[in-house]
Amino acid sequence: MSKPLLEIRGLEHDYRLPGGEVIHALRGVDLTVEQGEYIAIIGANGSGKSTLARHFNGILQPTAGAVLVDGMDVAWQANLPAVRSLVGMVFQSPQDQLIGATVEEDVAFGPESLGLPFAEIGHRVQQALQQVGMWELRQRPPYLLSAGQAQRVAIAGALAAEPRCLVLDEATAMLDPVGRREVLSIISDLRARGMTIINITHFMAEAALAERILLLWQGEIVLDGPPQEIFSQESRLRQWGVDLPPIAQIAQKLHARFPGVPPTLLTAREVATSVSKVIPPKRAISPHRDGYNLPEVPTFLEAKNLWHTYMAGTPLETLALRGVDFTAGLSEAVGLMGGTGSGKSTLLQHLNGLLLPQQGQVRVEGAPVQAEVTDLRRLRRRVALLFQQPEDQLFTRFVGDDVAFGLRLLGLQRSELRARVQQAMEGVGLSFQRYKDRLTYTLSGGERRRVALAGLLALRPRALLLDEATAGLDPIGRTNLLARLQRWQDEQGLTFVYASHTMEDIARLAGRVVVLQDGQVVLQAGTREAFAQPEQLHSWGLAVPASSQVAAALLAKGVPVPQGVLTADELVAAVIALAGKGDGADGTV
Amino acid sequence: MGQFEFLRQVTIGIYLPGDSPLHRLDPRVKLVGFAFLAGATALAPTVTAGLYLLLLSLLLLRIANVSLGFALSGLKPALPFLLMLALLELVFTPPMAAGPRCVAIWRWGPFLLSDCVLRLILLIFIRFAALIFLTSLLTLTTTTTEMGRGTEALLAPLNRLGLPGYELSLVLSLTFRFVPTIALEAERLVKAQLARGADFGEGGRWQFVRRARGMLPLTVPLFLLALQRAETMALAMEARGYAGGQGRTHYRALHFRRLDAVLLIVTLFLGLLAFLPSWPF
Repeated sequence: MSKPLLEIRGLEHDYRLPGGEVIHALRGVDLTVEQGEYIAIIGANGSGKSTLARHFNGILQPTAGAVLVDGMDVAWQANLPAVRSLVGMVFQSPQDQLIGATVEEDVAFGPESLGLPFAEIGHRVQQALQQVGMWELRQRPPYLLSAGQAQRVAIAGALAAEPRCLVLDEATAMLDPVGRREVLSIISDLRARGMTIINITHFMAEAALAERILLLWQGEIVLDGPPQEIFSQESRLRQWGVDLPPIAQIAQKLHARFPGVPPTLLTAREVATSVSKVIPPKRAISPHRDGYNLPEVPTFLEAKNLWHTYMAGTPLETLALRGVDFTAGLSEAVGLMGGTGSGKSTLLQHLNGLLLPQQGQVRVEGAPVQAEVTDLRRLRRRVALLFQQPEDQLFTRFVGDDVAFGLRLLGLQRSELRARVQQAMEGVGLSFQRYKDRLTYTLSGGERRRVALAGLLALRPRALLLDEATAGLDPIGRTNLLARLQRWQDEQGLTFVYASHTMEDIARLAGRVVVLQDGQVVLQAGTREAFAQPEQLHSWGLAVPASSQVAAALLAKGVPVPQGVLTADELVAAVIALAGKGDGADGTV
Repeated sequence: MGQFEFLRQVTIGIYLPGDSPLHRLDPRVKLVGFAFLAGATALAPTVTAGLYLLLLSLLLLRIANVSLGFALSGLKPALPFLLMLALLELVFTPPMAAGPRCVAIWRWGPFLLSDCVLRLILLIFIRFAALIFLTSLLTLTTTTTEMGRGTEALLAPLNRLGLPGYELSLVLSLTFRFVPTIALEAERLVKAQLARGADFGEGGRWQFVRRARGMLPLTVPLFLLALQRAETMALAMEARGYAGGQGRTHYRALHFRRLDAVLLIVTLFLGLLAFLPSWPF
């Protein structure tokens, strides 16, 4: 019998904190991985996923237990070079793992470390870069790559050592839909050639692509099985800090009304096929389009024929915006979509005066934003901008001070300051008493993101601009943040501009979407209308929410669900209407 | 408006892919040539000799296909400091002490400008500009890995004395590799602070003390982020089998061709020209 690729027995790992406190990150993990398996590892933030992954190639050493890679014990220093060339690893942050000054030099780093001969290195670099489609850009420096490109280079860097197993540690978390699709298609190519894949991810839809899923909770593997089996245990999954993939959520809801629809479907096509069996094939409802009219409210944010060039007059010159027109009404929630480099962030930074118009005009509350005239500090307080990965942007040591940062600059003091900080912190669900004296760098990612948000809310903005607010959060963290944003929108009437490439977020928060592509507005429409055109969105490198995917698949099967279905509940309601059943009818066919 | 384009002010550490003769030169030749010309610039005895070296570096930039504007942008942020230096020179250098046969050429109240002081001031500017151009020239045409390789090869004789040549060159190339990344990060942090109502950058070009003070709250988070990056980088290196310089091979072989030899000699010769006694002023 051949040896398993990975054999882990009774693995424990402790982290010792400076204060003497010990964190048990892994508490007795047993795992066997055979050559050629495709495994996804899921679990909440802090469940031990990354710690586990770092044992696969001996970056970490077990506190107790044993890790064997192809029969070699990683505890033996002498085995490490062989282990590391068998197990390649790709990390989350695209930029930081590129070592070389150019793409090809970076990919060569692994083979160089292995001490391969000169000709062989050249051969492997070329092969690895061709596999990920980056050979043409081999002379680019890393900082000029998009996140998706950088991640493909990182994969090539791992492949150049010709490993038998590739471990991806949240490698798609920072990517837009195009980047993610590219990485996933590389994974499926590698799979076809017999490579073992271990993918750690927060995206349940991505985990569903694997053959086997491991769920980690507090340092233990609590579930281990094929996706269908894992995702049929909805309530237990929630309890362990993860969620169903969006399509499976829809299938569950349909199953509750139509037992003929199995609850464990994972693709839009499967759902459509089984629904079309349940619904009698008649009764065509004329598809209705509910067009979205601009609400009758005063315009709050406005950009007219806006152009912007970065690094003008240098070899790095890039045109980021080309004649963008954009409006957001008072208390309106607008979704801003577009791939990496489409100009979303540049537009957002114009709306609060971080960038000033080079050409064209920006108006906030009717007043033009101009260099010498506008009070920029006041503007930035009224129109708050939350950057991508705001948790990296805390400036002070203590949580309370960080929330007070902007207020202090406003000259607020003592009791008033304290009251505003308290209010802001409680607005994001952080207890003032418990958190104000915590050190910012000891907080979890989700907590830090809330601190950053509180720092903005303390300034009492009238509009909130969010740039990829949920990227990198685990499913529960995401759901909480979205619920909170929605509440502010409903209760406080803030104007929202929400830039994201997570379509479920946009579907949930925005009434209208604006799509940017290469610095131009290519679509402005009601959210329903926009998501009813999946092909069009695909051509711009975007995706549609799961419900819209299922609706499109149903339409293709000849089931006349209305256009513009956005949420799982709407979809279920539409199917119920089609099945000709009133509320409360049981779901047998 | 380029007010927050930090990358614009960093020409060091940026590599411009290209195919000019300078791009193709052996990195060892470039390093030696650079060291020699930089040394000559620092020691240039007269203003005209300095000007000659300045023109030489501009000519090299031209050959490397680097636009003058881009090279100059590296000089801009240093201008206020240069002017301050010139002013100090003007105020504190005794007008006649700078040389035995100095001639007063301008007088205003207690201030006296002699030709010697004027020469000193001009030399400061010229040397500084030429050094910036030369450094940009080196980094714009040489990838940091090549630079590391070159350093490593040049330091190789010292290996026998126990000097870790590869590690030193790796440190050097990683430093350069992260200059633009850290600049972009600083830009992100500045914007994040502005978004919370801070004000800096609004001090204007000449209020550099105020601007420098505005940068203070940046340093700690920037430092922490750099540490985080370093940690990820160390992980990525380890995961790719890095175990020190021993037993490593190289993707790029260094080829010392005849053209390299010729250019090296030409460079040394051109540099030496600056020390001819006949350069006036």
